[in-house]
Amino acid sequence: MTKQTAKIECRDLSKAFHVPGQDQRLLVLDRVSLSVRENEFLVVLGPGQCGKTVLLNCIAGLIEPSAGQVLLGGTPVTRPGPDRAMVFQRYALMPWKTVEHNVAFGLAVRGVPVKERLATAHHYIDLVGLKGFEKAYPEQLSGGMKQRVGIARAYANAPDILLMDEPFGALDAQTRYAMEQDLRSIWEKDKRTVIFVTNNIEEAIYLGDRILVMSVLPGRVKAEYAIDIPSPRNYTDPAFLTYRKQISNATDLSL
Amino acid sequence: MIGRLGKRLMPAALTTGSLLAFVAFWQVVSLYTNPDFLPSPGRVWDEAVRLFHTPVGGKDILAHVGFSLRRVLTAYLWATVLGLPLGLCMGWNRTCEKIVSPIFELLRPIPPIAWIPIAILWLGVAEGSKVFICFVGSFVILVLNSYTGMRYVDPLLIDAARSFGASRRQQFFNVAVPACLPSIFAGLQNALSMAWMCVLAAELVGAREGVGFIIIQGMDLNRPPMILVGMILIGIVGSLLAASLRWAERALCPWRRELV
Repeated sequence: MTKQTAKIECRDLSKAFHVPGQDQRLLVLDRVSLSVRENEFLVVLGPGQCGKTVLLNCIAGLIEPSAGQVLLGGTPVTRPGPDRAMVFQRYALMPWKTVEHNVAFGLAVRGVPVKERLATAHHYIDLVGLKGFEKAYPEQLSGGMKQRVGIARAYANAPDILLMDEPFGALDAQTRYAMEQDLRSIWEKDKRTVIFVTNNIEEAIYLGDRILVMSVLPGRVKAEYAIDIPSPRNYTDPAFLTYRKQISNATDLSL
Repeated sequence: MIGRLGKRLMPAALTTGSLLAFVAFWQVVSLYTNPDFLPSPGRVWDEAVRLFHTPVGGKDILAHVGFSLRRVLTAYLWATVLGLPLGLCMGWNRTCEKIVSPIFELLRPIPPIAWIPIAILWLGVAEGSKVFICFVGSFVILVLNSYTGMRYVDPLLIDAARSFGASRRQQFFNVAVPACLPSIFAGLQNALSMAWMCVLAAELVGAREGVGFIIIQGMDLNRPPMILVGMILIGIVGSLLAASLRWAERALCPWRRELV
């Protein structure tokens, strides 16, 4: 085990929710354990409603697990912190802020002076390929561009860990391929520890160093695959297709 | 070139046209009715000119408009200062909501006009009671709009702010309040027209000045054109107030896309 170098570790993480009108609490996560190495790209693959968002929210410190704990570099997580940044499926951009101020949001929260935070924002706007859109409002951007803003916003806060909650789930197939390629290349230029949640096998194999497959409710880790394909990866590569077949056979992803 | 100019002038032409058509329609109808019921636009115009030169109740017509405006704006200012924060707090804080909203739900259905007798009893027929009526009308609307606006803030935005480590205070001032600015503006808009309507109602009951007083004078003197001048003044001032707020909203919420 590489326990000493684990960046993120979840130990027997469980989460149950009270559902109105039901006596029994709904078990969403069932003793999930995982560990992520520094600068590793981990993909959590699972069908809709397998608790993967809940898992991510626990690691982000947005919700408290019912049992078990999340350790970051050995310290338990109790609340959100600037060491982690989230990218949301529904973008979660502030409609009243321009692109540059959205990207600078995390820095603004921490009280970084305006000039400095805009300089950082511009660097990451550039990195995600949105140069020229600094003064645009989210409303004026396409879905893919909005998520680029979301990714830049997460990066700009200089977190060690990026938590991505089906970030491309709302995009059309074409845009999705482009975003996957760009994310992979951004990450290779500027590595962080990533946990990326998705329900798409291809996306998982294209992006991940390692894939954890989760079961339907209650969410458990069912299988684990190390993806050993060098970059740049290709969706039609024989090795890629072998992984694809292997993972599809082992999962109940009917999507 | 002409096409582009035409595009710019088009809305103005439509507005002028529709106003002219309205006056023309009024003129035609007035030809076939008893002038004591509906004076023609010309007679109303003459009356307006006369009122500009001859004082009513010791004051000229602009002074009367000024009196009404001052009442409205005083009440509106107080309603904003007290109502906005209250509504926002009700939407943000559960405890605050549970404490305030039962009282509020009870007071809400009472129309501002129903407060006139008690206001006069408490504050006399002078300025106090009139300002109070306007205050009640606009206060209720402001509280309701900011409250519902706050309740409809997308929790995802708050989650995003939390995930970046925003404090509760930052979540409120940097995310929740700007997120409900559009409904706050809708509230400011409605509250101002409500205050303007209430001042008329208040002035109809015993006032020595104000636009409402002009209307009552017109009735007492049996001068229909004077009543209509008063009514038209209400319309003009009211729409100018609304227009200035719309302008402020456009300046302050530039991210909003508008349908028209």
